Amino acid sequence: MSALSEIRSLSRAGRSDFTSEANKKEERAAYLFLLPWLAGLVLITAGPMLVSLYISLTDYNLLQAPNWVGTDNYTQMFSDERLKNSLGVTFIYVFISVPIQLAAALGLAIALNYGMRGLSFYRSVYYLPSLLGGSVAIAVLWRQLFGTSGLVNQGLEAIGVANPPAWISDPSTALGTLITLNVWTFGAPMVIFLAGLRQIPTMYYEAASVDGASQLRQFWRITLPLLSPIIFFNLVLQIIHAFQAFTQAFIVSGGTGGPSDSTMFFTLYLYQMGFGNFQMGYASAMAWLLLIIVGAFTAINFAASRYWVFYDD
Amino acid sequence: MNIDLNRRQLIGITLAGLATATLAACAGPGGGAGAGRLGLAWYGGDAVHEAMKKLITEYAKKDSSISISEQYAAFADYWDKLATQTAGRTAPDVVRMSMSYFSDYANRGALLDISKYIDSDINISDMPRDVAESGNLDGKYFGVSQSSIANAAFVDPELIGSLGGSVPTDDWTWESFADWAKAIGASGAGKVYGSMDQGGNFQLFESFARDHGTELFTANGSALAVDVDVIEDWWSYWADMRTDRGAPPASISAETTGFDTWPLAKGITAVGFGWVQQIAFLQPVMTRQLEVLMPPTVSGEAKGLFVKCLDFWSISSNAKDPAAAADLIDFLINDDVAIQTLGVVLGVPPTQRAIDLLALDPTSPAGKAAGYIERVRDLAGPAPAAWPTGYNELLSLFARQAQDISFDKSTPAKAAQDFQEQSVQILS
Repeated sequence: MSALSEIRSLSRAGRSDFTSEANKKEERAAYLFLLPWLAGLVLITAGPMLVSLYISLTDYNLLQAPNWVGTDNYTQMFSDERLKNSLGVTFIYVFISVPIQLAAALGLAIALNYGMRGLSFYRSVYYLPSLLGGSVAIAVLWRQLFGTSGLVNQGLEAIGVANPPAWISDPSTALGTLITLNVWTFGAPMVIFLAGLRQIPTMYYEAASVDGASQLRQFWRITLPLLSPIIFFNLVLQIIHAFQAFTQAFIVSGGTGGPSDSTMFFTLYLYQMGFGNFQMGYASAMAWLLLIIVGAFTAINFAASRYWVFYDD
Repeated sequence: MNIDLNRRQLIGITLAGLATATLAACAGPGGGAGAGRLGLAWYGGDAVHEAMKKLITEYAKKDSSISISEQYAAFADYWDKLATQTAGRTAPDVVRMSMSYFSDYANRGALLDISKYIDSDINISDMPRDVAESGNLDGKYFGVSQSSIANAAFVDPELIGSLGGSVPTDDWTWESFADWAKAIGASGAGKVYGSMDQGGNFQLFESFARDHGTELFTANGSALAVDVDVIEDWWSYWADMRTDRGAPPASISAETTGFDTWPLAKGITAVGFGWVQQIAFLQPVMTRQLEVLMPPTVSGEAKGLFVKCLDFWSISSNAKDPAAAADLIDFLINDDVAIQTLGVVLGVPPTQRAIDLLALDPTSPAGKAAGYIERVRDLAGPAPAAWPTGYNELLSLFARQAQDISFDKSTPAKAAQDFQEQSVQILS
């Protein structure tokens, strides 16, 4: 059978119904093409997830076979003060850094969208931190920058600030430096905002200008509503991303979550429980709690989106 | 049927690729190596990696029937990987085992009982008893000591001299040490303090506890033996030191990570504490010369001090050829070439024969460390039993409680109480 006749038979099948031989063949082919991805999903994602669910119901020290304990790990979490503290730290991190980060991203995207010269250069410059921000190297750099005698404090001393704070080694400021680091990685949402801004038809602005609407009013009445799906997308993504933050805290605190647990993210505590204290069952239960929390926030986001996200089409 | 053929080819290639990836993932280094192959894993810095790799080449010259696959990492990463491999029964055959994790691994069946290889394949007769027996848990050997260690004070005579202080001697007590450190802090005028803050140093605290008449843990390792008042005293002592500039403020101490960030290395304090061989890592990041002293004592007698082993060579319980693994360990400990190649990168060697063979310059950092071990061996008390399962968790809990006190988030009394209570849970 030549390729041409195959196509012909296909189009005939399309006209009658979808049970023809050729169609089944197509379907099989589709699944075969999906296979690499499907294998990845089952072997690398779904499989381990199910195992982790099972392990979360056991007492498992990694070195010996797991012991079934039912929901003990989950009930134990209610009385774990350090876990509550780590949740608190994570919530502060998420709810402060994400809004600031998105505001910065949107602000810069709008500025860049005004069509300044060398746009692609600036876009790359601002995007760069997003690529680097989660990396070990930047976390190490952050440690140096915000050290007691780091660049930030040298700058502060140069402009006459006596005894500047010990940013990363003082419990009251350590989390702030990590929030700053996350805000600094606004490039990824910025690029998405920029693309969204480009999608807004200029005729709306022209019409508004003719009617005498101010820049600010145009922003509130045209830009924000039309950009709301993009804002929503970025919000959901960045919240999920921030809940999972790990590397920065791990490196900046030297793996301890210190000083005094002030940078002890939930993920860092999970890691310490699993690999430091050999409580893999408890760590798995914590992972599931995190999944539930992130899932809940995403669901809330989607529910709330009906009231503020505006779809143009 | 051109299209069909291509499709089949594509699928074939895809499946072949997947299969290769799966196979590659299974064939990690070391684990499950059959006859003639041994996995060897260690942690440490570049100096350790270099020396160990050289040793593997040397071993190949000695016994060409064995090929060794190596696996190495920095301390923290090493344990993540080893725990995962142990869970998957693919741990390398011979592993470097830290005292902090020794009981965790041995008591949970991850390490092989090597008693039957001791003396026959692995000669430990050249080691002092306390060092040799460090690898013995309840009558069974699970590790062969690779180093001798003892707590030590590192002092910076030049810095002390520049502040008009006198360099202390081995016979200082905690009381005289505090007076001395505060005097240094007073002349240091907020730039230099007497001593690094040791409130969170659980290992130095062990000597302090033993000075008060008890071991740190009960004989079977199921509870703290030290009185809660002694813990409170320790933390009150360091709180008082911080108040009077005997030790730096909390935020300076909290910046300490690697050796180059030790306040001692940065010239912020005149004294630091650690395991004696750490002088070999500290000295290279400093310009001024350090000297080694015994840590202060309660009564002037060093019976709280101890000499034991810090790290071991152990055999994984999943090793296929334990006899070959045992031979490799004997080589690492006793072979002249191995001793020369390793020098003191793993710590002061466990045998006197090795120390003599190295003929270290007594003014070099390594020589000072080895000299110190010789000096304190007869003064120190008997070595405590191996640290119990859960030790590592206690180690970080102790440091965290001390830090909470230093940042005014807790008090010595409350923290001591907390530590006591949580230790019950951790050690049970």
